[in-house]
Amino acid sequence: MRSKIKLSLIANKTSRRTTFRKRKGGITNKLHELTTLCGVKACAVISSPYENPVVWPSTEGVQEAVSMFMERPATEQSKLMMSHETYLQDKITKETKKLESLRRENRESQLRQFMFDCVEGKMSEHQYGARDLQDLSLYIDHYINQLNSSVMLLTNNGASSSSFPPPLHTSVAGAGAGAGAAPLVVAGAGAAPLAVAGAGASPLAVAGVGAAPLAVAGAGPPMAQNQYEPIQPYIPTAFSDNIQYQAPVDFNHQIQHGIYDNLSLDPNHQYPFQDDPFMEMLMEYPYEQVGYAAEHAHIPFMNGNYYNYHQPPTVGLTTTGHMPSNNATTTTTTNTTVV
Amino acid sequence: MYVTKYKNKLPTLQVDLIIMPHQTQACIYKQTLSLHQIFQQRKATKTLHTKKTMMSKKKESIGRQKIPMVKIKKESHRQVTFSKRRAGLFKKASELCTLCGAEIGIIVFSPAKKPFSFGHPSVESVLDRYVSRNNMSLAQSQQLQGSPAASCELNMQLTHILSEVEEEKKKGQAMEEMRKESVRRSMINWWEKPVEEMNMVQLQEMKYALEELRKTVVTNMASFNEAKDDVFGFLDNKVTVPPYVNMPSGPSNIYNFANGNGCF
Repeated sequence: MRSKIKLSLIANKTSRRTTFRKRKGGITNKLHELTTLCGVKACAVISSPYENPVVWPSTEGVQEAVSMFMERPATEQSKLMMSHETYLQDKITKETKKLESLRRENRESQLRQFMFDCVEGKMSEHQYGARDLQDLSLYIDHYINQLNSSVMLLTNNGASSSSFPPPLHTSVAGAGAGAGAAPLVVAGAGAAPLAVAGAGASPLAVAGVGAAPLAVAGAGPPMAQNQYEPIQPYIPTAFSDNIQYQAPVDFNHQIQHGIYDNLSLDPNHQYPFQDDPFMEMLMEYPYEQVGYAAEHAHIPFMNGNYYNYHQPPTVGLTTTGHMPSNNATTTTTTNTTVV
Repeated sequence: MYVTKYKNKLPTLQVDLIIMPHQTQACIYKQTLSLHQIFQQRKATKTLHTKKTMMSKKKESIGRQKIPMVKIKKESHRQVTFSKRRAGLFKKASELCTLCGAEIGIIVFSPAKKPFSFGHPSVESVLDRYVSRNNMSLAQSQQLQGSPAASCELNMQLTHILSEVEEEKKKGQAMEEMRKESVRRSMINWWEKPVEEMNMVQLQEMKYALEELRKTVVTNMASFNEAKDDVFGFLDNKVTVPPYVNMPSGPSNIYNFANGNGCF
């Protein structure tokens, strides 16, 4: 409907006079509103080459205001005085700052999107230069700092929520984990006939008795392998290879769903990839079973969290079946340490 | 670093591994059940979110209201109103000076009795001329000769900056619109969420990925520096210093302004 007018002197004289008359009324109206709302005094003199000077509110009002103005010290008068040039200069300065702020904001949004596209392996789809890469590097550093802050925050919350064992206990548990890796696997194998046959504690006792020679046999090599192998599957060769990098992310998605009550996950998206990454991992790296067993023994609260979440109270028999296994494992570990 | 990564990664995998040999079908059943529960909880969360959105919309609709034209009773509100309306008044006066070449002198006393004034060419000249009513024509002609150049230049700068501000706003809105579209289609990934919403495993994973990406970026930067070619592409490389700062004043300013406008 109405287009933006250009801020310059209107060329047409008639149009200029019309605009002057209209806007003069607007200014007097604004003065009236200001004085009414705030209960203050004001005056104005508006003159133009082709009209008689217009005063507001009246001649006496102007005289009174001018005399009040003159009574003030000269410094106060000039301090708050504003001319057309100074007003425009101030406005330019303010708008310049606003422009720079907007530019910075937009650039950060672009860099954020660019960073996420690179993480997903779409770096080649963007055209970028040295300046862009430099800014991206700085933004990545900034984002990593944010991640570190969040990690620290969660760590503090975690420490307050769950109590960790003392250092002595930790070292003992670590030694037990190292020595008892194989027996735990045997215990796991022994659990199957327990579930099938419904037998008592005697098979567990047999497994416990047979643990000593197996632990001695597997002392050195499994530990060495355990320390290095888990790193391999999580080092992507290049970010351009989307499939290779995408798989670990989905795998963690599945694990997070299974372990933590994470509401932000999308069930529909999670369900189709439920078993594939896990089975692939299982077939590719069989030795990790030992490592997993060790970690299972090492961090008891993880185990407790898992059982508390997954087992409903209606399955009483299953719960009863799992408890002796856990206790037997602990007993076996203690015996091995003593020997 | 290695120990941290080891501890954070392995436990989650190991627990599932222990369960699988025991009861495969039971495990799948449990996961299905928990999926269903999570889905229901998610529905409830969405409902709450919708209600909050509606409430916020109601609040937004009460933004602008007509006020009675009487003196404001509260002192703080009066002061705020004075500041805002004084700024608006001076803006309108400035526009009138620009558009119609009028000479205006305004004096406003704040609630604290401080004198704020706006004048073109100056408060004293306009008011003194009116009060004394002497040498009006001579003073007027003298003043008119000097003022147009400076005002014209400043107004051109202001117009240029305002247009650039509007352009940046549109760009920001476009990006925001694209982001909202992604959220609506549920195409957003977990690593694109705010950092505060991530859990420990996600944070570690994201940190590792970003460190790898940083190495890649540094490598690419090195190769770019060797090649010494800077390509302007998707990410715009606007200079920090606005171009008009170095623009000379005078008649040639118009030509430079047009040239600069062509570049952008």
